Amino acid sequence: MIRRVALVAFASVVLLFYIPFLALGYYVTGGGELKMPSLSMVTTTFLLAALTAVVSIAVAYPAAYYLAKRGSELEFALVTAPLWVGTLLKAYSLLVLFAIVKERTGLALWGTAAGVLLGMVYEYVPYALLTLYAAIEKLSESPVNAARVLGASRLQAFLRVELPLSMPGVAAAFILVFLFAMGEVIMPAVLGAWKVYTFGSYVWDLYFKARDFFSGSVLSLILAALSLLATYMVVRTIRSLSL
Amino acid sequence: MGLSVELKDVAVKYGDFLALKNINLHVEAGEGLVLLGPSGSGKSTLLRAVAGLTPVASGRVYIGGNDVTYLPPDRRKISMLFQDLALFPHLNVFENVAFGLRLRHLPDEEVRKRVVWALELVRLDPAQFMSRRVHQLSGGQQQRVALARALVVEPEVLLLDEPFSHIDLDIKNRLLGELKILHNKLGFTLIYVTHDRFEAVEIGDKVALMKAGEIVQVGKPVELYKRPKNRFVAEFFGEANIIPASLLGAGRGGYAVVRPEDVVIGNNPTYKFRGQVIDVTFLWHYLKVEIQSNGHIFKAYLDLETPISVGDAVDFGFDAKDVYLVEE
Repeated sequence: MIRRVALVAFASVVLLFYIPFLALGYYVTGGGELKMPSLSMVTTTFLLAALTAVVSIAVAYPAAYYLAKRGSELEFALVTAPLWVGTLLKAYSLLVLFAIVKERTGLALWGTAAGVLLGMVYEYVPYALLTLYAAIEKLSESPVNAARVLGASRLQAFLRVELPLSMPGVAAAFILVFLFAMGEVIMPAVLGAWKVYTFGSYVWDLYFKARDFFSGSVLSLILAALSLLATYMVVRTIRSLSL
Repeated sequence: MGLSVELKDVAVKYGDFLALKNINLHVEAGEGLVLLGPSGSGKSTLLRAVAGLTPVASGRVYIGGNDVTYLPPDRRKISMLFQDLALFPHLNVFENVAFGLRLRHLPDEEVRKRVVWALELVRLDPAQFMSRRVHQLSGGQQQRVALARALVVEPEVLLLDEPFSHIDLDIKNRLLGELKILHNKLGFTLIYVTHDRFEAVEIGDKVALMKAGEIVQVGKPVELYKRPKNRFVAEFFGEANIIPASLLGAGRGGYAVVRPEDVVIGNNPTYKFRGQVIDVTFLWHYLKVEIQSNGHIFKAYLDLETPISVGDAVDFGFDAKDVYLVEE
């Protein structure tokens, strides 16, 4: 049942969004020539997305853990507050922050991969946090207590019991953030100043600058396929580590 | 083997609620004590206070004579079996049992030897079960794994929080029997929480009966049974006929406790009643008979061959030596 639903959902996405563009693009360009992205661009995109997911999870995990164990509603609302602000607004506010940082410390973040990463982490931490919170919150106390009476310190009980048991949540958070980050356009554009050039930026340029709808739609399909493959592999790895 | 456990004036609070008040308890080294009581009486809280899982608001906890009141659970030389078992779902049977040993950084060979020993102790075939996932096991097998995991670290004190409450009666009885044998063999001190008096007498050298966060009476099962401190003990620890003492002409208020097996038909007992039989139940080695008389329902355990049936009018009663008076 669930498999059928998933297939239908995926097929409808492909049919509704990609095929028309593909056909339109082919017509407009009169047979068209596929302009492939460079390998370095693909690598940058993958690394950036993976790093964004990993850093977001690393930042969000302790916060989610705290909120799940003894956080108040107010703290919860405050931590997820960045979700209320639009991505573009966040990007430009970070730009201001980068300018201040540069003036005070001489550290240049605008136009660097680090700057883009920072922006993307800022953008996606709340998503990771919500996903991890849901996973940690439903963990039972008793395996931890069992570990404690068997001689585990608080830290050992966390590392050997709670962390492995929350791995499904980590996997879910990874998928969510990684997929968003793979298609990210705004942060690389604004914070990377087109110097950090990603797959998403390239597709954007193909559509809106080169008006090459054919290459643009084919490449978005390829991007979707690559993301799917990467997600599949990551989830399989994480699952084999825990449950 | 085994360490004594002692609680002095222990109180535990959950927010404003006083879950335990003024608990004083002494468990000898190697002794088996059962904490018995209705739900909400504080028996699990008391066990958690001994384990160090629940902080005490006041008072002291001693294990083996050492003050452990502020020691974390991992430094109390205890082991515990939880009501929901709390097996680690991400580990197989071997790693579940080995958990406590791994924390002690024992060499692999030693870990293996001890896990096999523990699994054999609880009658699980190591070869067959070691690599299974815990969710592939039956309820009884999971109980055994949990027990092996608790015993493999050779605890001085074993705490059990209603560990057998969710399994079939037959398996429960078998596990109780095995636990008792292990207790005798390994010599650890045992504290067992239950709300079931049948389990309590199965396992306990001593029983502490709790109510509303307090220990009402501690003693050998026979003491609680024959000399209950009050009505509550008499009713909770075995079946009892409890009637106002005035009914027997024993003046000064209070109640008289008479156990059903001491109620006789005819035979000229000291206290005589006449009543009507309202229920007769066959219970394997006796008949449980309920007799209505003077607005009270008396329970009597009678010989299986007793010629009695519902509706009969009978003379019955009990002897003065079988009456125990309680104040409240």
